[in-house]
Amino acid sequence: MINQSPNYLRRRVFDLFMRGMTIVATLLALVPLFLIIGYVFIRGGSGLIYFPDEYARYEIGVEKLVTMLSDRQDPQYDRDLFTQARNDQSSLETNLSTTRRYQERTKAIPGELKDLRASLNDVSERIENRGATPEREAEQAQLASQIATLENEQATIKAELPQLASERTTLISDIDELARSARGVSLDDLGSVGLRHYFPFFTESAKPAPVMATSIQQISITQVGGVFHGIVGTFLIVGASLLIALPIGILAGVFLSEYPSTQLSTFIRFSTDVLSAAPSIIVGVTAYVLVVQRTKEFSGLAGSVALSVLMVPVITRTTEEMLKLVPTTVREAAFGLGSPKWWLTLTVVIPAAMSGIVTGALLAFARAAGETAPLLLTILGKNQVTWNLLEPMAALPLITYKYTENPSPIQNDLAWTSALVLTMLVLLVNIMARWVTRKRTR
Amino acid sequence: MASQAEPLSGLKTFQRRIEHGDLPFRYLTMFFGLLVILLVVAIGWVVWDGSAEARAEFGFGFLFQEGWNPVNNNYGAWPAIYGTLASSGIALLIAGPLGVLIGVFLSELCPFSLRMPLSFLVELLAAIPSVIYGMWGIFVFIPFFVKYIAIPITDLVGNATTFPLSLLSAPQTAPVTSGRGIMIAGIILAIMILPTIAAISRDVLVVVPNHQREALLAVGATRWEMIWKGVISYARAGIVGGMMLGLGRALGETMAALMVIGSLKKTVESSLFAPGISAAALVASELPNADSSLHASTLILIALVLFGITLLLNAAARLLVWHVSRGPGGNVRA
Amino acid sequence: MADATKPTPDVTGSTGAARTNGRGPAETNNVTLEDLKPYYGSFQAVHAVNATIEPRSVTAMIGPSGCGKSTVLRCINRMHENIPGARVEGRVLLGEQNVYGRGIAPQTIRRRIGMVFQQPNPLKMLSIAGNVAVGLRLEGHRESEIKEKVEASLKGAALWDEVKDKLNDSGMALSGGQQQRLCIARAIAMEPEVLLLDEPCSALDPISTYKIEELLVELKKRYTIVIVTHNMQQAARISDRTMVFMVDITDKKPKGMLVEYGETAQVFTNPQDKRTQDYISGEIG
Repeated sequence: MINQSPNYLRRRVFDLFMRGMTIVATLLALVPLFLIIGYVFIRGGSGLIYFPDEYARYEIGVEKLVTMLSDRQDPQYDRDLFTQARNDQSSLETNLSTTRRYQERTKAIPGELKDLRASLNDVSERIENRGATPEREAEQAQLASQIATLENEQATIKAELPQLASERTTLISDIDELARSARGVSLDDLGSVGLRHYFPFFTESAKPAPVMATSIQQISITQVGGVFHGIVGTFLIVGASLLIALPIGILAGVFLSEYPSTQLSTFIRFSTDVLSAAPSIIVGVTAYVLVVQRTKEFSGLAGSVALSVLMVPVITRTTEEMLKLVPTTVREAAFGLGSPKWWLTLTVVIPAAMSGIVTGALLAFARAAGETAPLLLTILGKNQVTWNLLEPMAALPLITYKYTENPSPIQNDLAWTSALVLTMLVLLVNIMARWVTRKRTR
Repeated sequence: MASQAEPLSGLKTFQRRIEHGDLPFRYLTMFFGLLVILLVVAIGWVVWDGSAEARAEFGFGFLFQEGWNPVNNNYGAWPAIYGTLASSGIALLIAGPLGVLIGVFLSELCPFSLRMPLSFLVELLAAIPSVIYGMWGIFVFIPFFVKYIAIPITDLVGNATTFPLSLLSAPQTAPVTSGRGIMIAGIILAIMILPTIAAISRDVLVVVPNHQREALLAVGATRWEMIWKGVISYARAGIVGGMMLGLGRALGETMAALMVIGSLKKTVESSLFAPGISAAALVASELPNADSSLHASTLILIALVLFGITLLLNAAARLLVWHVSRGPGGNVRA
Repeated sequence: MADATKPTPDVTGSTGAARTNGRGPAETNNVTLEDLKPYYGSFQAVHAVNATIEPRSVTAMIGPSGCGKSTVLRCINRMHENIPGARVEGRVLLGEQNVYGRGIAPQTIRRRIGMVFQQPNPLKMLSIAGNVAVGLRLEGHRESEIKEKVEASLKGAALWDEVKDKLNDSGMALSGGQQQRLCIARAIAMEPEVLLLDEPCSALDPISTYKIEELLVELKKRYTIVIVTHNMQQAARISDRTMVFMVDITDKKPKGMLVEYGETAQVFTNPQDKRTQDYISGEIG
């Protein structure tokens, strides 16, 4: 056996211990991070695949009708029609909630009956085999009465369901008639428009939360709406900021890489460092002071300005690095043809570095899409879809934040789902960015 | 082209460059470069000019005063400064060592085939928006934290007033069950900056030249001794730089802090389980509906202080990271 | 295998303290390579190598690049397995003990078989003295003992006179040749039985190379030295025995192979193998 060096055992044990600790610590530290992703996917996903039941479209339709009729600015506004629609709506909702309850009971009762009958048989057998005692007889009597009650309930429900159904048919035809006569649309048209019926999340914007709602059961998904306005807002705002930031970033990057280093370029590099180090809230404050306070209005444009400031350093640095990677031989080959430098830069160098620049733009997009703090100070938020960048707008991160702070659980669910959409967006764009560069380096 | 071979006088060169559009193009790109500088100047000017009123009113002494009442124009920034420093400090204490260990795992110990995918995953995690961390904190982590960490600890410590213990005492202004507070903000920030620190640590550890590892192995060092004396020690400046970048991110983070730190703006409580406020969160929550121009100006002054602190920190961090990564193959985000 | 029956020498700290004067280990063993097959993943890099390296002599490994001489060298003290996917089949015997035996930790082996690399690699964060002492510190020797050993090793590496006044300076401040001698000092401070050198002079100027060659001739009185070199003159100058490696291109992927092993004088003047002859006369390689 080879002799071991001094302290051999202690060193081996310490080595194993520390390596083990590193692995354990890594796993422990990664657990919450993956928990976060997992939660976002599971809770957000469960919001996405929620299908309203067969009656939901009537609820959606009548809700829309009431909203339509409630507009006092409308010249066609008629108080009586509105009241009638409101009454019809509440009758329909009572009818539907009773129907839903009965349907649940209809499904549940046979099982309960089966259980009760089994225990009744059990008790009867025991009485037959071992003789009757007062407790056993009391139990038997109690079970029998429970069975009787349930059978009674079953019979009632059986009798009442067709009644409810006919009542509902009348109500629906009433509402339909009201809708046709008042606004010339059918209830079906109001209630279901293609896929919107199933994915209100992507296609609808927010509705005001019921103030008193404290549990999921009290409000249905039809009363919450979706985050369509947020998706539109995010893409508009981030798209606009990309339009602002791309020319600045790319041309500044060209200046840094294509022209000899001077004190000015050192200063520009330093500035991009400062910009990427600045907390996003500071950028938000700047946009707030320069745009919101000047124009006296919160607007999507102010948000775009703030986000573009956050994008510029990312785009500038990637452009500079990518342009520097373009081999000198490419430049020399083109320069030998006698074309001017600017032409060469625009037609040879930038296209050669295109995938890198696209990566920079994608990364900038991903970073800006997730930013919340500057938006809080600039776009304020809105509950409707708007395509006008000069108005207050909604955005996904802002919706996530606001619905998280909201006490209504169903809105919290909506927050999870918008978080899922946001996470997917950011992750996909990041993966895309990585994929684009990978292709380039091959 | 024949003309290229001819010797050209200065004026002729100039003319040619104008004709070819070279000079205008150069000035165009230079203009956009200057625009980048202008952005920085604009930010600096806005926070400096916007805070002028507050600076004239309070001076910088108000950074260490307590109190917050916009109605009476009574402001003190100390709770915000303290909340920012304390939550970021906790975040760094937790995420610093863990992040370095993850970096070590990714660069030294991880099976080779897993290195690239895991590193990529960690980088992806660093890209997740902070609002999602805050949201997870509220819905998932706070209930867990209150039940298994905050209540047992505060029960154990009680109302201790001596310094180190008082940090863990039962809070006075809000029940511990509310969960929101500086401690939880620190933990959420730690989870948030962990991928950043891990990714940077990995980057600076990976560029440690292999011959440093071999030098230690050849004298009979164990794997951990090699990692500690050869790799971590070689890259320590870069690791510290990475931690400082993480700290900078925690200091400037708005949403995660805003969502879980509570909102105690008037005073500083000795307990870390008590609610507090961070500078960024204070600005974000109050600036859009500031009551008076002095109120807005005070908030901008706080933003100015925050800007100054993060800039200094980042400058130091970048210097350190650059110092290590400029070696061959130095390829470090910064 | 003359001393196969002798007990394995003790190099632990207990008796090591008595040998701080740089005399080297009291006894040394043969190093025997038995069917040694280094692999990178599933690719066998070198055909099975069988050779016995004699103690207290200089054995040179020469051959064209890509012939696997460095790989074989790194197998001797188990540095090869640090490369991801790399593994070794066959045996390396130090005396009687299989280096790849069950329950033998690589660090034990590397401690007894020191190594000097192609590129001088002083530890960047340590001083000159700290570099020499690093292995001893890890083993927890007493500071006074370490100080003696550092001096002895630096003297043994013919570096003491040049650095004795700046022991606390960074090792990176030395010239390339000095750095390489510092690495030799670091290796001999552990008092190994065998010293492996992987092209130690390839990054050095002729004067530094000459100094190191001189040093190796001195060191072979105490250590078994194996040196990989691409420089045939160097092998001829300093080695006692020479292994010649060649690239076998009969397979799809070229492999290294040991074609000739013998006394240096015989290998260079009267090579038995045609390929060696071509290589030495400059026709291939």
